[in-house]
Amino acid sequence: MTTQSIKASRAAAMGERIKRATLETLWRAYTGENSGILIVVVLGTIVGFSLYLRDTDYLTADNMLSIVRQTTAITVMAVPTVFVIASRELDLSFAAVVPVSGFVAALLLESHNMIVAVAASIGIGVAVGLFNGLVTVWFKIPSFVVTLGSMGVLNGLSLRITDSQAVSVSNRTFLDIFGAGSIGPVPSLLIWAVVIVALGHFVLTQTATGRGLLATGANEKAARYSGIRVTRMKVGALVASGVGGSLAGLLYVGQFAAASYTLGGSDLLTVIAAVIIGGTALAGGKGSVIGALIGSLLIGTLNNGLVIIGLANPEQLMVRGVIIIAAVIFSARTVRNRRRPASLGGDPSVT
Amino acid sequence: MTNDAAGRALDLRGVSMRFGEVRVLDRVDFAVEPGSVHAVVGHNGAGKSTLMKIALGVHQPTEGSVHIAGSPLTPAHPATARKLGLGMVMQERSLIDTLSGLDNLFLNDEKIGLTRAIRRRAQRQEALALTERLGISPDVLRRQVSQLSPVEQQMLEIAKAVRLAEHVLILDEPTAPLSHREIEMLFRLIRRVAGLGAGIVLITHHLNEVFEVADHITVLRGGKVTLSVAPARTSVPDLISSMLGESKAAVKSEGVTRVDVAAAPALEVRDLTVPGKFETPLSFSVKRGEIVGVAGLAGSGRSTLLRALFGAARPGGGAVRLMGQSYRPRNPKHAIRNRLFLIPEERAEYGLVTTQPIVDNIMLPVLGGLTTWRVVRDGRGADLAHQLMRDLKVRARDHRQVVNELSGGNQQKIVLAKSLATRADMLLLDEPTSGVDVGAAAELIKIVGELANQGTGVLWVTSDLQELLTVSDRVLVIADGRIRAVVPRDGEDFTEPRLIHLMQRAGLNGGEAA
Repeated sequence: MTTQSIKASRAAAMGERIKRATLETLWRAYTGENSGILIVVVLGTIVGFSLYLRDTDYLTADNMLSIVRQTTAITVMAVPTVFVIASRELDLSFAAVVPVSGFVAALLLESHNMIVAVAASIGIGVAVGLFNGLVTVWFKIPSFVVTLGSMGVLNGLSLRITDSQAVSVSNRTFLDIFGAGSIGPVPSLLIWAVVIVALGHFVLTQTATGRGLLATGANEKAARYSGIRVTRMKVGALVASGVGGSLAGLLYVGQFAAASYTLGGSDLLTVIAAVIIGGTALAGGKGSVIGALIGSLLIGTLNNGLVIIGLANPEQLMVRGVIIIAAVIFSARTVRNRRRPASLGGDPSVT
Repeated sequence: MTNDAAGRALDLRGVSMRFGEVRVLDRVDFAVEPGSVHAVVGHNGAGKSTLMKIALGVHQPTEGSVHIAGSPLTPAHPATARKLGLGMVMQERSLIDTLSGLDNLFLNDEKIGLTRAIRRRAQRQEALALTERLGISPDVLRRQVSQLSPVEQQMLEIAKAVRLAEHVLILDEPTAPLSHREIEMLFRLIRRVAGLGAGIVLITHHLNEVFEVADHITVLRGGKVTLSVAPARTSVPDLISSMLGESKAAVKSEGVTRVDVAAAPALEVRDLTVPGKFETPLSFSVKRGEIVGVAGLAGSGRSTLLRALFGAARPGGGAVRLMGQSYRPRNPKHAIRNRLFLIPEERAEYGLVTTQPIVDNIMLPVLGGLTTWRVVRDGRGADLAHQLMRDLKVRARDHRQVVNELSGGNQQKIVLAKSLATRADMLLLDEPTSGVDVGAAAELIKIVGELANQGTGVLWVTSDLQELLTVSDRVLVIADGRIRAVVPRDGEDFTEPRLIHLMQRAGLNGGEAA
């Protein structure tokens, strides 16, 4: 081997190392406590749209608020989805809970007290989540299969309940709390989003439950051998996910003053995309609620801007799809780097 | 120089390797003659793996040359090494459980016909010829890998490597999952492969094995060769002192001196049965401060017994008492709450969340105790981790270092730290020193001895009989699903050959049932 070729191969190795280090630093900045890069991306998107759309009323407080309003339901579902994915499960049924719980609330509001309507609606999410969770852990079936089934049942149910008819809601208090109302200048939807995100972030990062959830997702066997009730963690995450769907249903009904079977129709993939863009690993063991918030804001900003630009729905779908794939590639890449076995090209200190 | 190299299966000359500032190998000469078995021993971190990765073409050495069967390894790439006739059996298994032995043998190197279909008959013929040549039962080809015993799987791995590697075969810890009898079978195979003309490199932690099979021994320490000798001209103590250098006193902890064993038993097991493993009721007890060793062939149910006590495998019937209190194994959380802790055999799989930091792992079993209103007090967790890391002399950057960056010995100390955090009265250890270097093993033995001194009861499962004799106050010999013998420290059976005899008398045909 000549010195020249040694130098060349060393330079190549160095280049690879620098490339990897840069990617890792970027990734850490983006998934770490401060999701810095992602915030920059969201702001960049807004600035880009503002410049492109400077003649329209894109960059107005009203429009920014409407972005928040449009993404609240997504955010509310994304938070428990972080729990589910971080514990290495997958829930495909939460978006199908949305119209069912919306209908139940709307129908009960016609005859009952608001509290009864809201409680029943949330109860649906709890029941669906419990069913998903218990079937998953008792029969040891992958949760995505169980929830795929639940999704089908719920979809059929929401069509059956009202024969595809919308049910309108006129209860003022309900609409104020879950829809158009505000406390001072702060819209109630924004409050919902902030409360749910804060609660989710707190549970995941500060409580024993959060630690148990992450340990379960990272290594279920070791978590169990350390005394973590892994089945409880999984069932809990799936129940939270069902409740997220219920709450999103209430928020949609509040916004539109009506329940319809189309509510939440395209939310499943949007929510999962937001969570993964936010740095939660599909392989489990790693999750960020703040990342999921920013992920859903990014998608919300994109949707809003693309609408104002005048893109039709097909183009919107395509652009969004491309962005989601890009995000998942990035996520998969880092997970691979992290999982690389020490025996091949690993850290020299482990020899 | 190249002239010498021509006659050798593998020839590494003046090989040095640096990773950044760290010099991992320092002008190492290492040669393997065709038809011979060359053992490489050394601490974790001595440079064994790096040396092998250089031979394998994974790393380009900073200095020095590599020749395989006389040809230089350029460019340094695994594909080049393979083409030159070098193969390796990794510590991690490379077989696919759901495929047959035959399909595994040809995995990713299938014989393809004109229509792109696999030429099954040609494959079978070649495979049969290979097993014949190696003296392996052709039965392993037919069965699914998941149905093969550990030694059959290991033999299949070797056959797979031999098929592609005619000159050099590197075996990394091939005996780790095997029992005594199985190791002998494996060694017969290794000798046979060598007899066909290949040079074999055997990396191992088990020094006794070296004398049974190797023609030459190389000891590495701190990236340098400290001993290179024929087995007839050295001994286990010699090897140990070459591995350890000046600090050899550390290993000389001959036995664990203990204060008087208190009368109250830490663990009392009466008529315990475990479906499928122990149909005959088991009874034994472990006193406070006592270390009870468990001897048995692989597959004898040693691990199952520990898991059943820990509540990770459901026991059938029987009564268990912990520190005098009635205890019914339910699940690990329940066991931990009752101050019983298991240090499981497969560290990375069951013992640790390896992608998480040290501190998170240590906190995991005691999360409930480190919270106020369910909120985790990270400060207290960090204090706990600091103290345990100091007590156990864990070598790590800090308590936030991710566990999979640590050496095997330090990882095992983290598992031990978890058990200390739970303040277990009764400790179950399953192969605690497997994959741990000699120095760290001695430290672990010392730490557990100190725990016993403070009154902890210990049940210690290991395949390493030397270790068993060093640590145990008594040894339970398990075979055929029951306790075959209880050997006290001063009993006449408390020797390696007698224990081997006891284990095997019962298990003559049970030895291979994994």
